[in-house]
Amino acid sequence: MSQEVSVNPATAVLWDPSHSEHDMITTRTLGFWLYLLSDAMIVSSLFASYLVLDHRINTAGGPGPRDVIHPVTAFWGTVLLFSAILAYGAAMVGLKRGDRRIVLAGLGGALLLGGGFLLVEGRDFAQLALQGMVPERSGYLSAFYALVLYHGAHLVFGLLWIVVMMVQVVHIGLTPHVVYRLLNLKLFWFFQGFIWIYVFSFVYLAGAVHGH
Amino acid sequence: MVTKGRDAWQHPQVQLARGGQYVGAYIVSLLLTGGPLWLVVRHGGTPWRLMIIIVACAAALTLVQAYFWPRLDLSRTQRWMTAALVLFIPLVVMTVGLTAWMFATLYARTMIPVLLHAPAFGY
Repeated sequence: MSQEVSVNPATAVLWDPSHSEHDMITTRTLGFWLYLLSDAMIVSSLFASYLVLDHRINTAGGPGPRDVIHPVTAFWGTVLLFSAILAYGAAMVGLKRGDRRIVLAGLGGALLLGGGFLLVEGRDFAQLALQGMVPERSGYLSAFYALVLYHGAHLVFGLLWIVVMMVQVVHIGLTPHVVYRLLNLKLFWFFQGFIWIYVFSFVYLAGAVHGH
Repeated sequence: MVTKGRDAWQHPQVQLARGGQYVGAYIVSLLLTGGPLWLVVRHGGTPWRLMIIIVACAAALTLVQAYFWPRLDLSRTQRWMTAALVLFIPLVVMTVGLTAWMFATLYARTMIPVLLHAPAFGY
């Protein structure tokens, strides 16, 4: 008969607590990375939906890619987004040196450039809406709005997170908790570049190829 | 690994930052998005040829950004993140690929005359 063993979670010692990768920062960044990959599965399903609905029958006689997609405008957004990521990279270089001023300058640059991306995207979508090209118009437009604006919503959240981190860097300093949050935000911010590669390539560029 | 005290920025994941590599990745990323855009806008090839270029540039961009920005490699610091990403890729391919496969002949099977000979995707 097996003997029941009681373990107190408050005092329990992990199997290998001395293992070199079991530190707080690495554990939390890996956990957040896995969360980002699960988020990317939602993006995958949105891409799959867009692929299916990107067909002339799903435009319901309304606007298609030729009317909706502006790849040159999207490229200027791409420049701003990649610049925002580069600015965050500068913040990481500042963090590496333990220099709060460079960290804040990099975060500020990422904030401005990311905001610029949202302005370009927002202006493009506002023009579509003013011309009656709204999500309710057709299945194609629903898929287009959902996919592109899902990415845009991430950028909005990222900008809010940057503001919070700027406040924490100023008032708390580069403590372990602030550092792991900056690293998680780095993963989040860089990941938006990843997602945008596919939005730009397979929605804007491929849409322009098929639409003309 | 250092996680305590006032020197948390000495953590290996922080020390991965490389300004020169970030700038290099930035320039290459703009070239790999601007190049296909230029070809598409100028109608520089058949649709199939343009799509191959777009896919190839997207794949190259993925590798460039994965390595030079979040620095995903096989180092002791990053290998589990890299492993998670590698294991994630088949899930994406299956999600998008199986959906495309399921719907590839949908419109031909609807028996709507004008759609019987429509392409599986696109226009």
